[in-house]
Amino acid sequence: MKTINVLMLSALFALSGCGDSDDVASGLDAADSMAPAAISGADLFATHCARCHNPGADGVHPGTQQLALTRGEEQAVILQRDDLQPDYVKQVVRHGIGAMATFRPTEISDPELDALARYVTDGGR
Amino acid sequence: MAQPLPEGISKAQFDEALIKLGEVVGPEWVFADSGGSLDSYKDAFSPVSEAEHRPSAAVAPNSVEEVQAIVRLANEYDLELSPISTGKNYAYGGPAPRKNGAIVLDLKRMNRILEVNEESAYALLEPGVTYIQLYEYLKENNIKLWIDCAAPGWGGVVGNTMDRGAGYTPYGDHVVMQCGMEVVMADGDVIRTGMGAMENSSSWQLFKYGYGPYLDGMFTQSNLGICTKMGVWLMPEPPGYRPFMITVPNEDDLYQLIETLRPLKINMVIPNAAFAVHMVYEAGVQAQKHKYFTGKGPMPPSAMKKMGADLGLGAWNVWGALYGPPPIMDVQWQAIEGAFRQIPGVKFYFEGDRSDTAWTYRSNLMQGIPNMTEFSLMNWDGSDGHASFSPISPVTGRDAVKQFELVREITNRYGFDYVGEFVIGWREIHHIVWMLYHRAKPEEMGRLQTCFKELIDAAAAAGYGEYRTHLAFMDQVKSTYNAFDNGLWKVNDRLKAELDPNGILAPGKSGIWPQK
Repeated sequence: MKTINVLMLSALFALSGCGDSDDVASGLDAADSMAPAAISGADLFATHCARCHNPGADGVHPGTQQLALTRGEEQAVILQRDDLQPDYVKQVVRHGIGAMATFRPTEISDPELDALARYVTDGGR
Repeated sequence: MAQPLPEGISKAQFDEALIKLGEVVGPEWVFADSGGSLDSYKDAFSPVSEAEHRPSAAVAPNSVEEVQAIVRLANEYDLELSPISTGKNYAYGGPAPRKNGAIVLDLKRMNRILEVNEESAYALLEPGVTYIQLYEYLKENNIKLWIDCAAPGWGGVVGNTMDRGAGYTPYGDHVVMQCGMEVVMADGDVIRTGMGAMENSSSWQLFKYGYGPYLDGMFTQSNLGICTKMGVWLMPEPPGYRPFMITVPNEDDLYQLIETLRPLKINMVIPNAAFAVHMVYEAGVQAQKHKYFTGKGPMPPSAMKKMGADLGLGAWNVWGALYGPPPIMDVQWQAIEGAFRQIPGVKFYFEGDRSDTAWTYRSNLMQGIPNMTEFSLMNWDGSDGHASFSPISPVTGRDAVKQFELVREITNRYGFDYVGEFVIGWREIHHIVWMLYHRAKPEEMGRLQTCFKELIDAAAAAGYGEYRTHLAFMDQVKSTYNAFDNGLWKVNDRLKAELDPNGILAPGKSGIWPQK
């Protein structure tokens, strides 16, 4: 059986003296082995941006499609643009634009946003 | 834009409360910088002014204990909290609060996949886990289980279920596939539902009901508690998968199409939610309106006919899939094909027959592969806003035609395209209608709001209630569920008064307001 069970950890916490339900919950939440780790600009792009901004303006990727419609095919793929500045990228991510909604600091933290903006403006390098 | 304060709170009290919240979660996880990070908590696609649903602050805990501490502070300082999970409930409000000035309780940092059990096919999740995150986790760990996602894959498993959302695989009724919750109550106490109420339960994610009253549903679309853990059942990867698309040529075919689908669904011949999608909805993810119609107002039938021919779409387009050993799928398909053959002009498509965008994304969704393609609908006419009108009806041709004609007449009369689909469940239709609009055009926004309100009232007058709605229309939709002198809401109000006497949790959610 393939099972990954953080509850086993919580059981250990419970057995070590925690009696009420709050403390059982405490044990459960102390284990975060499956939480996503801090990631690079490339990983952040893959997680948050690629499904809208990968190449292909046929509608599979709505961000690329929208940029193709509003700015032309040559500026449709965001990683292929050379006119973007990091501060602009960060502004768009936090405040949204057109059909793109906002991303909160709990989704992309400020340090992560710095890395993501660098990655985007460096053409995915 | 001016930053609102929670109702009845002075600036000094508010500032003091923010310091206290910062002591709980760390000051870097309290956001009150109007025009800065706090702006990311707006509904970017709102059908009304953003100023109507603007938070005073946001606070982001990382544990159940921190949620409990925040709730206790809220009672002490008379704060109003608006819990969100991943904050992607767009078309229905996104991360914004129902009540202006509430503090968003952002649970996104609590994004741990606590358990995945492949043998019994379930997962235990925190509220910040997204569909994409869970999907990638299963792939990376070679776990042969599928997720069932909403169309935009960036959404959250727990949040979508709490708002009673739906997906595309046989596990598409998300509340049905939910098993066990952990909930922080308004006084800070924690409960676990179902079998989780036993301290040493071995089956919290296996049996939904436990013993005694079944409470899980009470916490969905409500403001009676904060879900901090949820069990969800996952579908074992089947030995075979066959998506299919069926087109019919005429809008008038809707009656026969729905009559054909009903027995196939009730008898579980089609195991997943079958979709009957109008041409504009299907075309909208891959084509632009101006290529076929440059006039004002809704697209006329003549332009639709040309578009359908170009894109290989029917007036209605049915999607479904079969799952299982090939011999069983063969038999199921014989029944489906035989039934649909009765509709003149019907066409059938399978994997490899077409490679257009509609096929790609719907084929992916029906096997639980998250994507964002449906947002391309906003490129149909360059919209920067959308909200969904979502009434429920019986699965009959009569009701489907009645709904289609009613909604199309109203949306067209207000100058909007009808962008709709019928989602066929086991016994009901979710009629999902995308309202697309341009937020910078005040006249259009005024028409939209009047149109939306008329849709709600007209549907209700015909016996169709919405299953879910945007923040701005919650009170109105509530007013349509008015049987027995609003009896349901009197009970909800009593529950609210008893379980959240200070009214700290999501005031106004689903039209439930605290009595304070």
